[in-house]
Formats: sequence, C-alpha cells, structure tokens
Amino acid sequence: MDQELSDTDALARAAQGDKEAFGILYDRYVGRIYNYIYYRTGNQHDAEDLTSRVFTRAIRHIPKYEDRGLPFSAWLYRIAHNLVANWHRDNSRRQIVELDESYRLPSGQEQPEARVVRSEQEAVLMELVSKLPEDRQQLLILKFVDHLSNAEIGEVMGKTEGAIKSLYHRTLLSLRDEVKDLDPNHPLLQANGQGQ
Amino acid sequence: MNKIEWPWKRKQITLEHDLHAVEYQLEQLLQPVKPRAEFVNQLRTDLVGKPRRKWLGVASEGWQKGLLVAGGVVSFAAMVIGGAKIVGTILGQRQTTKGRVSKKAAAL
Repeated sequence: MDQELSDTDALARAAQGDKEAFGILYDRYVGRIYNYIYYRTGNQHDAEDLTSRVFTRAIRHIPKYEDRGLPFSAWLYRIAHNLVANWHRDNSRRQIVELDESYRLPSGQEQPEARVVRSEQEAVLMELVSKLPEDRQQLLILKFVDHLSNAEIGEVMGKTEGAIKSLYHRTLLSLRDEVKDLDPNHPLLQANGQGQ
Repeated sequence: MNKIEWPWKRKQITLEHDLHAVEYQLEQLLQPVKPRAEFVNQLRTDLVGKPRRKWLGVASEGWQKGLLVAGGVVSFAAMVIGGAKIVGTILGQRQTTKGRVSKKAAAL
C-alpha cells in the first residue's frame, strides 16, 4: 500500500474494509492523538488506554464516516476529546491531574539547582494549565504539542480562525493573571527566551 | 534622542512582555512526547493485523503481486528448459564422440 496515499483516499478504502488503509491513517495520527490525550490526562497509562479506545472506536465506525468537509484528524480529535471528557467525569474526585514522575523530565545539561527551579516553575505552569477550561487546554495542546495552525485548530474545534486567535489571547491573559496573583515577580513572567 | 516611553504606553508594553513570557514558557513546557514503540506496534497489530511482507521492496498487492508471481513462474520455466537443453546437448555430444571412436576402431 502506497504510504503517500491521501487521507481522503485512505479513508475511502478503509471504509470499504481495507485494514491496511486504516493502518496508514493510524501511523499518521497515533502520535498526535497520544500527545493530546497524554497532556489532558497527565499519565502514560491512561494515555495509552484512551488512545487504544480512540482508534478502536474509529475503525469500528469508519464505514459510517461522513465527509462533512472537515479533515479526518478533526474526527479523531473529536473522539479523543469525548473520551477524555468522560475520563475526567469519572475521575472528577481528583482536583488536580496527577502527573507522572517522568511527565516533564528536566534537561540533563543544567546544574541540579537550576533543574529543580525550572521543574518547579514548569509544575506551577502545568498546574495552571490543567485547571483551565477544556477548550482552552485543548487549544494549547493542539497549538504547542501538535503544532497545528490556528485554521487547523479551528477545524478541529469547530470554530473560526478568528475565534481561535481570540480564545488564545484570552487564554494567555488568564494564565498571566493567575501567575501574577501567585507572585507579581514570578520568574515565569521574567523569561522571554533571550539569553535563556 | 532616546525613544520616549509614554506612561500610557508602558502598561501595554508590560502586558505584551508578560504575554510573550507566558507564551515562551508554554513552548518550553508543552513539547511532544513519543509514545512507547511497543504500545504503538501492538495496537497497530491489534487493529489491522500483522503487516504484510514486502517481496523485494514491492508491496504484495493486486496486479503487482500477479506480475511478480508470473515473472517467477516464467523465469523458473526458462531455467528448467534451458537447463534441460544444455544437459541434452552435452549428452548428445558425448554420444556422437563415442560413435566416432567406435567407427574408427572398426575401421582399424
């Protein structure tokens, strides 16, 4: 099977029962879906479990897939989003998403003290991100982890590009205000990528 | 002359700086994580089965597979026929040589 098959063609074949065609789609999107779920759940075990469920559901329902002008990835993200929402509902007794120890491994080239400080800063920011509303979390993950453009994010989330830009701006403002509430001189607000 | 920073602009500059700082930290924090290879491979096998073997780099699909099989059959047949002809030629030459030797012996 040609790995350069477009999503549309692979989807058409997969809908006819061609499992290899579905395999091509799987290879293309498993990393992105896994990343999305990993950052929404915070641990590898649940990320793997939910990723399996996403693709199991996808292969089961692909014969009924209707092309509504949106990319196939948007459909996968929608399935992932719904499963993660159910997961959060089932785990709603948790106030904070518990993070794997290996969730964010610090750089190996830093001094130990700098490494601890950076880890603490990252932990603070990660906690703030995990407390954001679902749509804002989804936006940040699609933007920074999956590197989607605003237009692509809009297709996945069912919003216009302008709405995504506006939501992104409001999300940054919200995070910045949360950090300032913690500490107006917090290091997070000092870092600017220059000389770092 | 140094650029004057007006008070009403200072707040905007601070805000932009803060937003850039938050954006930068998010870029550092939210980086792709590679799923376990065993997990990815096992899930793929569970969903679509084991990948089909490629013969000599050619996917075994449809007409390509048929062409490959036909080519193999024709090549094998050619080898067998060619081999048989070579053997037959060698045996034929030996018999001819034996015949000439016998005639010479008879002549003597």
